[in-house]
Amino acid sequence: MRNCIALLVVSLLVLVLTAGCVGSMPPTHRVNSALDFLYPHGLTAAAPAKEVVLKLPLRVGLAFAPNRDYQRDPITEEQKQKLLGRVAAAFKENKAISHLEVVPTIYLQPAGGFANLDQIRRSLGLDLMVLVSYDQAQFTESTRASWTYLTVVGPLLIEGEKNDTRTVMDAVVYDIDSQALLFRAAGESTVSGHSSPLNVDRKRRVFAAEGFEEATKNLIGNLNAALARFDEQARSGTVQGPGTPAIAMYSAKGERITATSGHSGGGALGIPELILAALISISLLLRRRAARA
Amino acid sequence: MKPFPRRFPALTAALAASCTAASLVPAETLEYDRSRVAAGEVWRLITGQLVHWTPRMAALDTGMLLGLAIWLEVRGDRRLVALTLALGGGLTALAVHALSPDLIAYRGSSGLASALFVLAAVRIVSATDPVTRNFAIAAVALFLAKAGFEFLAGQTLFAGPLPPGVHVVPLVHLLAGTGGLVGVGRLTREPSGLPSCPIS
Repeated sequence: MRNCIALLVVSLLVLVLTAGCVGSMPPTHRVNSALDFLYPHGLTAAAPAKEVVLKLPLRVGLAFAPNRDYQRDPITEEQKQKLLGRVAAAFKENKAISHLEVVPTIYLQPAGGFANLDQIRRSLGLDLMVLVSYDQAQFTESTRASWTYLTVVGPLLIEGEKNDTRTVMDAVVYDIDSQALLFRAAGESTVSGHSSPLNVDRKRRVFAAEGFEEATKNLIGNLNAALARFDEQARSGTVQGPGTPAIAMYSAKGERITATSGHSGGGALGIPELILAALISISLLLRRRAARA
Repeated sequence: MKPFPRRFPALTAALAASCTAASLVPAETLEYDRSRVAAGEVWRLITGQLVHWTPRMAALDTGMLLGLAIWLEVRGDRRLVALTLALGGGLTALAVHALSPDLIAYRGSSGLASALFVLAAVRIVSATDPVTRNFAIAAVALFLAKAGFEFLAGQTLFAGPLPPGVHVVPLVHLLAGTGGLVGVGRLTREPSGLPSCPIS
């Protein structure tokens, strides 16, 4: 009898301790920055950008900026390549781009700077480089359901931890030769979910990957818009308006592209035309039913 | 009420086969390219209307084109459909090559679809039911008004997403749409082919 009571007390103590060990996890915050890679000694040490000369069509590289000090990324290299592949696929129809190359992160050395980019340019024959940075924060807190952890099966079955993953991705497009920033865009996402104490690490990895996926979708849309604005701005002769480096764009035939140069067109019907066609179809259908009745 | 005779839409089937074949080759070999047309590749004036910039654009344009073509052809308007397609294609080529000198490349079948849309609406106008007739008139008026506004104002309304640097050409919709008005000439001479039982 005494042994049974002692066993019960010890079990209860163990359960309470286990429940105490499980609780809110500290938030994680992982950042990498393209500017850290490009200007390892700070922006004030940077040389001013030269005049930009772009000869279309361009060869463009895409890469995630490397982390300083080899910090661990929240996603694997394979996941990074897939995300960059999606960005590349979104721009492959652009006539100004002849080739899009996803550059593995190992080609970029931490704090490598423009010298590193120049090496890549010579090796892969690239004109422009798109460098992607990210900022991801993950928060995990216990919810009211966490009282069930006091039971034996609670931690196994109940997902009483609430996870929030906030991701921001930023893409900067540089002309490697002139070291000029041409344009930039950002994408962001928030992913919420639940986990149990036993699978919280795995779930956080899953949410981290989801966060990057959603942020990439947002980034692609914003990059499209930024590219269109840059195209218009560049035709007027400067990268981003007065006070920024001058830019000259030339077609494949060597002709200067200006604000009055040609553009591509599409005969594309939109939702209004579809609605009009649907309205006519509905009126015909109603008319036929009335005639039969 | 005697049902009108339905015909197999052979012309639409041929059109669908052409669109499918066009989707199997790289779009750059068929798209309208001003410099290549000037160099002698004049077929691009027509083949450029069978290729598209994005899958969404292809789905909307060809969906509308083939849907309208089937409906019209099944009701016995095959010759009218052929004539309208020829007019619509020709007017699209005119709008792109001669009337838009700053256009260097073009893709899209919305010109053909616009011509058939107007034709379909015109055929429905011949219906005896005033509600349906008014619907059709309003649809044509709205369609041409939208295209006219876009052309004059230089901005599109509710256009779908296109790749960077590609813009909708409203003049194509406006000009090719008028090709569908060829159906007006047939209204006074032939029945519409629609069930003409009056609603009592």
